[in-house]
Amino acid sequence: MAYVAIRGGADAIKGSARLMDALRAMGQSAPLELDQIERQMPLLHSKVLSEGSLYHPRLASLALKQSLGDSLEAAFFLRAYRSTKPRLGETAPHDTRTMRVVRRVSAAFKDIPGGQMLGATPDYLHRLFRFDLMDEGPETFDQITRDWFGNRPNGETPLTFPKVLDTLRAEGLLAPLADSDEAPFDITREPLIFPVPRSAQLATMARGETGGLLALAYSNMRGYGDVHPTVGELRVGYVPVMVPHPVTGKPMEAGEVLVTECEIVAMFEKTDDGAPVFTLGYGACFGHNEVKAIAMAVLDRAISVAKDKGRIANPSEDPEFVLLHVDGIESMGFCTHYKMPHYVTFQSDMDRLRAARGKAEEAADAPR
Amino acid sequence: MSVLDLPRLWRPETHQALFRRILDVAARPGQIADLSDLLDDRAAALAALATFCDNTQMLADLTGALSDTDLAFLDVRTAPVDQAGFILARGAEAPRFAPRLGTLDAPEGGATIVVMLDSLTDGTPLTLTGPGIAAQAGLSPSGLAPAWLDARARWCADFPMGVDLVLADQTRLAVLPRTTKIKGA
Amino acid sequence: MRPDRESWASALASADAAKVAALADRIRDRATVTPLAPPREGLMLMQARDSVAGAAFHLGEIPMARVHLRLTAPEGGAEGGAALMSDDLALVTRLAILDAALCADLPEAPEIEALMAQGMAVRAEVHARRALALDRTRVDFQLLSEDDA
Repeated sequence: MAYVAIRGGADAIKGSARLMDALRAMGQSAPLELDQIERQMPLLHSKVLSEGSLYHPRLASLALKQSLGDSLEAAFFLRAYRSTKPRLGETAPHDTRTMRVVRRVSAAFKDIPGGQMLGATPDYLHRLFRFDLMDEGPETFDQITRDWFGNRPNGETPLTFPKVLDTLRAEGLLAPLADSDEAPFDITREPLIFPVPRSAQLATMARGETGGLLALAYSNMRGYGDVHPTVGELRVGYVPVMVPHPVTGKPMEAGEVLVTECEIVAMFEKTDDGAPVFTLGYGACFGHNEVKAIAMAVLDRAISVAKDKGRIANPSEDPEFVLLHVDGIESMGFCTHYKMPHYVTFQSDMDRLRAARGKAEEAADAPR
Repeated sequence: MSVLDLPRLWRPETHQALFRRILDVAARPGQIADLSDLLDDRAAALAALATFCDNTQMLADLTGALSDTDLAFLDVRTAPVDQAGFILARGAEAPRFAPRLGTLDAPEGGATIVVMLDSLTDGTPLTLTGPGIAAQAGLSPSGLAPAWLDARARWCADFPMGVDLVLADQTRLAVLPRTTKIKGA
Repeated sequence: MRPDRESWASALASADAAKVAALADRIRDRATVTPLAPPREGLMLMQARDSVAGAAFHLGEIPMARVHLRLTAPEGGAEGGAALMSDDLALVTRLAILDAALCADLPEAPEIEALMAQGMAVRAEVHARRALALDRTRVDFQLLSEDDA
């Protein structure tokens, strides 16, 4: 089954492009500014940053504007844009303990070193409409910012915090953590041929489509699986990007990247010396996207569980099933190609159907 | 003009022109590419490396001729001669190394050796036959130790594995792909 | 006290862009500037380390521009360099020029330091706003059962 090459339709295609622009421009509203998208729709913007797998906030805003708000298309724009740029290399591995946290919570512990800070979250708010948002003007924004920044206390609050799970490690409740020497698998250059190393799994999920990851993780949570997670730590913040100074070779800060990271703790598992420990799952992605990070961590745990048991009991535990179906560009692209002309294929299907019906009728009409 | 001017040899449009000329003479062994209009007094051997190398490749410089700045501009990783995809060597010195030859299912892994010579036309005539050559072609390299042709014959004995040679004098290049048969010298 | 050289570029990148450009261009006009590596902007893979199994993996790609040059002015010269998460090669070239000029203690050094101070104040304000947000959303949940005790 294949889509076919066609000619013609150039006028219709041009007309369609013009129509998209015209629909945007008609009416009374002013053109969207890129800053508005980034600042007032930051969570949608974050989704595109991580699914596009390119941390370029300005282009992510442009992608959303140009795609008329289609986040799958917007991510596609960023992915495609990457192919026009030279690859300068890789950074050294960043430790997320350097993250300048804007949100840090734990479901496992009430008190954690450094404390829990909600940051900006709707988690504890009712899902009730605020109809006053319909009538905001620039003066509203001025008032809001004045109110927020008034009465600022002087403090020395740190922005970086230790990992919650390090406390569990110190108590021996978690296996000690050793950094692996293995070079990361580059999913942008090598195809996934299973079994793949953990770095390939993490990278694939880090740019995976949120809905796809969520659905698979949810299947495990609901019972098609065994992971009963507690969020040990969920943190959102800005990780400083360090690269060598071209002259001195010492690390210099080239910028910062907004990252969401989730560590989940799940069930017991005996280690070699017989003492029970918790097992862990990990998820991290560009941008502020908590559902995605938690889903990634649950899937990480699901895949690890199956690997340890040597038995895959559910789709969410099968790395091939998970990793090959979560990429938004691949899945959206294949789904959408069904709209492309498949005339020849379908014509041959119709011919076969008619021939089969003809034979059936002949058989029915044949004298007994 | 707020970005820096690059020396001509390191400009992308120069690399495109170099690539086309090198590809043409690689497809027609025996033909010589004159690079003098592109070099601005740099060596043709360096121009070949500038065309081939980037940060995904590995180079072994057996001549010591590459400066730190040249290596920075080549943006290539250095590697031991038996692991490098590209080797820079002097034709006057007999080769005493074992280059990568590739494997049966990845023969392209064989090294490309850029050999620096005195001249492509003033020396002992060689007769070339094989793919890309109508009947026969000739090259007369000077400054190429005879041991090079013996070594090449050994390295390329198990076709498709083998090496490809890029012969360079100060301003010109010729290519001897592993498919070319050489008589003479 | 001049801050560490490795923090100059990020400080200047937060200062007034027009002033940074004007200062760098003024220095460049009276000096010779030669590249010591190809000045390029492109993408880098950002590696992170997973804090649960210690594996290094790619979070995704980031823009990066890197410049390494030599600056020679009548009063002296130095190598300069800068790298920034940006596709603006002109900006990073200017940062590299200022890096070299400050390292060589050219007469423009006080102006460069003034711009750096301005940039650091901007960064300090970003830090302060983040700290304010954390302070105002710090939780101290109590379990309901503790109240009943």
